[in-house]
Amino acid sequence: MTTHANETAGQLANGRKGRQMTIDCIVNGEPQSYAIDADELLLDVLRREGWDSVKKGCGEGTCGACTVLLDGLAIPSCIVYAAQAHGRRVATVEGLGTPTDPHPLQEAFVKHGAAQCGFCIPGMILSAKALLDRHPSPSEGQVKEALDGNLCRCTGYVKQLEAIFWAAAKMRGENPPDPNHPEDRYQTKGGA
Amino acid sequence: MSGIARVLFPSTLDEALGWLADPALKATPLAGGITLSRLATVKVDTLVDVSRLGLDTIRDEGDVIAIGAGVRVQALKESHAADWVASGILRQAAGRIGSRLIRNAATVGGGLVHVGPWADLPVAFLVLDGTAVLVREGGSREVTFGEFLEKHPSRFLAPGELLTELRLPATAPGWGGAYYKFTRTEVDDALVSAAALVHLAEDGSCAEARIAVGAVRPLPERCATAEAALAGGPASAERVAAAAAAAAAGIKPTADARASREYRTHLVEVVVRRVLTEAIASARAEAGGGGKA
Repeated sequence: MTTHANETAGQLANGRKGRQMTIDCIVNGEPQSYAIDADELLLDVLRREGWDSVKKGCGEGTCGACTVLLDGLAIPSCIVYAAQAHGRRVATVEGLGTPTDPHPLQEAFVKHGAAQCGFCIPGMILSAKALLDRHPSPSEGQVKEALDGNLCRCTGYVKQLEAIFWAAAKMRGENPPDPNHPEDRYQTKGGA
Repeated sequence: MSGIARVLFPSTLDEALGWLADPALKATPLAGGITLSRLATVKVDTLVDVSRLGLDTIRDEGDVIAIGAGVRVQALKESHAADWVASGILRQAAGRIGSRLIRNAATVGGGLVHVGPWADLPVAFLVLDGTAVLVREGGSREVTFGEFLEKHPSRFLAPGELLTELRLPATAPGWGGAYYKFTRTEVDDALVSAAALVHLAEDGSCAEARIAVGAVRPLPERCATAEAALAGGPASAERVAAAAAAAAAGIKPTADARASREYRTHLVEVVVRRVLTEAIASARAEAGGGGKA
C-alpha cells in the first residue's frame, strides 16, 4: 500500500486541482486516485467523483442513506474522512450490477416493490450485501440487526426484508419463485 | 473537524508515535473517524491514521482478555472472548451502541478517549477491574479505568500519548455483570444507562456491588451510596430497590433538551434496579459452575 509519508517532513504530494493530498483506493474493483482535501468526508468525495448512488441524508451517520462498503464493512460515509479510504476497497451499488445484468439484491428489490422513493435503497442493498457475503442464510433477526442503520421513511420495511431473503436464496443457487407470479413456482413448472 | 492540513499513514506503531509527539505537526490519532469528523476544533493540523497498526485484535490471554483500542464496536459485540468478562457485559454495552453502521466504524478506544455523556462502553468499564495501556514515544503506562475516567480522557492523556489496549481480567465464578440502556428508540443515544457488577458469596448474599450510571452527568460515575446499600447483605429485591433509590438520591442529573432533571432522576432509580436484578441473576448463573476455569 502506498503511503505518502516519505515526502519531506510528513508533507504529502500535491493533488490535482490544488487539493491537499491524493488517495489511492479501489472503487468497485477499479483502482482510483482521488485528489482530496485532508478534511473532506468520504461521501462528498465519492459523489464528486461520480458515484451518485451514495446519498446525503442526515449528514450525521444516523440514516444510512450514505452507506458504502469499506473493505467489505458497511459504514456511514458521511462521518468518515475520505482519507480513511486510502489503500482500501470501496463498494457502491454501481459496482454490483446493471439494469440488464442486475445483482440478485438489485433484482430482488425491484421485483418485490421494495423501493418507493428509492433514496434509502442503495444503502440498504449494500448493508444486505455485506451481511449475505458473511452469512448466506441469515435469520430474520440477523437481517434486521444488519440493517438497523438504514432508515426508510416510505415503507414499513416488509418488502425489503422479503427481497433480501429472496436474494439470499438466489445467491445460494436456489431458484426462488418470482414474487409477482406466485403460481409459476419452479417446483410445478411443466406440471399439469 | 475541518482545517486539517494532512493525513499521515504510518507503517509501524513507532512511526505513528513519532508523528504524534512532533509538536510541529499538531497531530491527533485517527481511528474510526466518526467522532473527529464531527468535532469542531481548529487546534489540530494532522491526523495520524492508527487503524492499520494491528491494534484491532481481541486476544484471550487466559486470565486476561486484551482488547485492542482499534477493535470495532461491532467486532466486540460479536466476540466470544469478551464473554469471559462479567457475563458478557461488554458485548451487551457494545451491542447497544448506535446502529450497525456506527458499530462498524466506531472503535472501542475511540469511544473511550472521546467519551461523551451518552457513551455506553465507558459506563461498563467503570465497574470492571482492568487497565488501559497508554503508549507514547519512549514509554508506556497502564492506568485503571477509574483513573482514566476521573476527568475527561483528553485532559488525562499526555501529549503524543496513544491508547493501544484495554486489559480486562476474565471474571471468576460468582461474579455477574449487566448493562442497561434506556432509550426512546432502538438506536438512540442513552437517556440514562447503568452498568452493574455484583459478587455473590457462597451463601448467596451480596459480597460486593459496583454500580455506574451514564448519560446523567458529563462523565459516567460510580454510585458509592447505592453500592453500600446492597453489599454486605442478602441480594434481595428489597435491597436492590433500596440501592436503586440511593442511586437516584445520590446523583444530580444534567437537565437538557432531551430530558429534565426530574425525569432522569426517576429513570436512574428504574435503570439501576433493572441492571442490578440482571447482574444478580447472571452472578447466580455463573456461581453454578460458570465462569472461566
